[in-house]
Amino acid sequence: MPHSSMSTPTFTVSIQPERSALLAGHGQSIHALVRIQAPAAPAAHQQRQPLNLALVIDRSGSMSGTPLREARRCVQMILRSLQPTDSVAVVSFDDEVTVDIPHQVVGSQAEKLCHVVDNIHSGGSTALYDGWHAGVGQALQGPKGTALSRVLLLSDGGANRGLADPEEIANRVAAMAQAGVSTSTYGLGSGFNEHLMIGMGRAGRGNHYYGATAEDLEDPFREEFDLLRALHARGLRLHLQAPEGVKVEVLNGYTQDPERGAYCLPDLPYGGEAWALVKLTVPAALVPTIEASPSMLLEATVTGVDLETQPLPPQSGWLSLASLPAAAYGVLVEDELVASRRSELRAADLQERAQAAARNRDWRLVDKLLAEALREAENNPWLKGVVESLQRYAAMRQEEAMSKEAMYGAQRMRSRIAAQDEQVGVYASHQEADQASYLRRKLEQGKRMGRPPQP
Amino acid sequence: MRNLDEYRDWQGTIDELVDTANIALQRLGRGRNADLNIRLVRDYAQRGILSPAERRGKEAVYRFQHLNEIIAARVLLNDGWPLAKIAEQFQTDRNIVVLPISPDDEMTSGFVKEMAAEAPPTSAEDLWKSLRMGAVAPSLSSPRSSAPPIRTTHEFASRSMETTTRRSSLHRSLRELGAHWDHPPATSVTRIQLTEWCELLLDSDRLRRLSLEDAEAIGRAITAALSDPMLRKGKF
Repeated sequence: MPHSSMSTPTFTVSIQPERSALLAGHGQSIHALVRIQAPAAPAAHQQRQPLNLALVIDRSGSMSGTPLREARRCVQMILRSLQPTDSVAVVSFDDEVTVDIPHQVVGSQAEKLCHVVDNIHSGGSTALYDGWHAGVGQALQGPKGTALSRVLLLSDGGANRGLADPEEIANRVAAMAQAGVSTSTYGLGSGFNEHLMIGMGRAGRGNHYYGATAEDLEDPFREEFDLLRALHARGLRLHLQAPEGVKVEVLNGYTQDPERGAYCLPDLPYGGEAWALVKLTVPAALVPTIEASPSMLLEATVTGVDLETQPLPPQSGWLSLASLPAAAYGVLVEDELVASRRSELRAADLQERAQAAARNRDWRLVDKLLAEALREAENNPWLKGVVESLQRYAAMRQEEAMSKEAMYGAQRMRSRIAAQDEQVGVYASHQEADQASYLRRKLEQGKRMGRPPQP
Repeated sequence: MRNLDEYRDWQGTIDELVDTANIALQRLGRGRNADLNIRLVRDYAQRGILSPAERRGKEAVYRFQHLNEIIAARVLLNDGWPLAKIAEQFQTDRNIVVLPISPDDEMTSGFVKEMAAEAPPTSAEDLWKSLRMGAVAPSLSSPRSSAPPIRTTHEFASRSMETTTRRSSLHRSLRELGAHWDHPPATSVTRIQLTEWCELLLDSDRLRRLSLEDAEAIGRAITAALSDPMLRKGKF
């Protein structure tokens, strides 16, 4: 039987198996969903921890016109949403880096700061690393010990001036995240380097988004901002323990903490659910006999810190299953939610492979992989919509759009925060729009909600 | 004024090591959390962060190397490095030196000031400065010593980033091969050959902690497994 820890003021951990028993007498592989659920936001949450943001905007020549205008609008939207106690800086870059708004507490100056942003104009090439570096410098001037120091970097290109090696940049971003300044990235259009931008977002312990057009960027900016405001726990680590002989695999592709082998989970907002799909391979010798009481197969313990970086009490969930003879086992119904998440992860894997094939312009393989992904999506209308969008890009042989959508979509499926009451087998755009922005399941990561999936 | 260089010929007992390290940490501007004590020194020795002390009869004698190791460990720890990672790095390179936060401090001169010209990232701000385009980890070696090159805490950070790069590359390669883990599972195994045709393979770490009861339980499990007709037929 699945079992969860007692209710506490913090998050809870539970484990949901795909079937409620094991098949007696046989070695077998089973999947189980580890669910980490945050409590609902308390009333006092209105008094949230101050944010310390550095907004870094690409103003290179390619951003001239609508892209830069929309980027300025997104920045202004964030500036107007900040509380007086928050701190902010705005940095823009082309060949050179300009600190347009030096680090400062917002106070009552939000509108004044918005006017300054209006004066950012486009220029030359893309010194992306230098822009990020200057943004970090500004964020470091924020109050020490503030948990939410973050650089938000927006660019429509790859780094073509200064340091340009994606791996080296990601290493440096990771080092700064370790030192307390996280990074999120926003790719714009089809010309940016998705490996660089996703790599920076992942290494930077922030998020990574993209917009097909400048208008599409408003959604992700709002999402990130809503997420920062709603955060309950950060630095979540999932520790898994199973009896000796039971093999445990986490299928999401979460990074493992090299110290303890724990899995690094995404930040958890109030009302949200972080999750991990675990595959357990149980040898026949460890499957309990029919007469025996259920045996413990998995213990999941999650640690994390609150917004003031104080450790939260570790929470655990356990999975114990009895075994049934073949006839009884055969009538057990597969858990819909577990099956659905399993399909998501398989589809994510197929999407990533399709992305690589698209980059090689092997469109026959792309079509084959997406057809396979569509079969995975049979009982999941949201997943089906996602794969169909990719198929449309593939049909038109749009390499850049296909590649970006596939990569961002796959990353999202692997690590998305889910709504706790998410219904399997049901998907309606208007219902998704009613959710908190960071819980919405979009059909295309690069398009704003409500926009038709394909022009 | 005294500086770290003055400690080069230092030697003392564990009590003196604690006192001297606390004073040195204060002078380096890292004294806020310099509550070093004997228990911590023993813990660091057990973790392999501190080299074994020299035995002189019943007494353990510590030297400059130990002082340097313990100060470096405290600085790195305060900068957020986990003890396990510090121990891991020290296993491969013990020649690490800690630089002062305030190079203009009148208490720092000579050797220390010379080193401070290339200040290491002892905080987020220092790390940020070190990450400027083109910045590379300074390779500092003592001009007065024929000892192996001294590493700074900056180089420690750089090496750690290199490790991250290697791990990231490994992760990608494993994914390409269809593996779902970030690191290949690896276990140290001890092989015990009972006869020419029968061997036991045991997790070495577990073997070290194996109780008599565990050994007896293993015996019973082997008996049960070897009596299983399906296993005997090679059907698993």
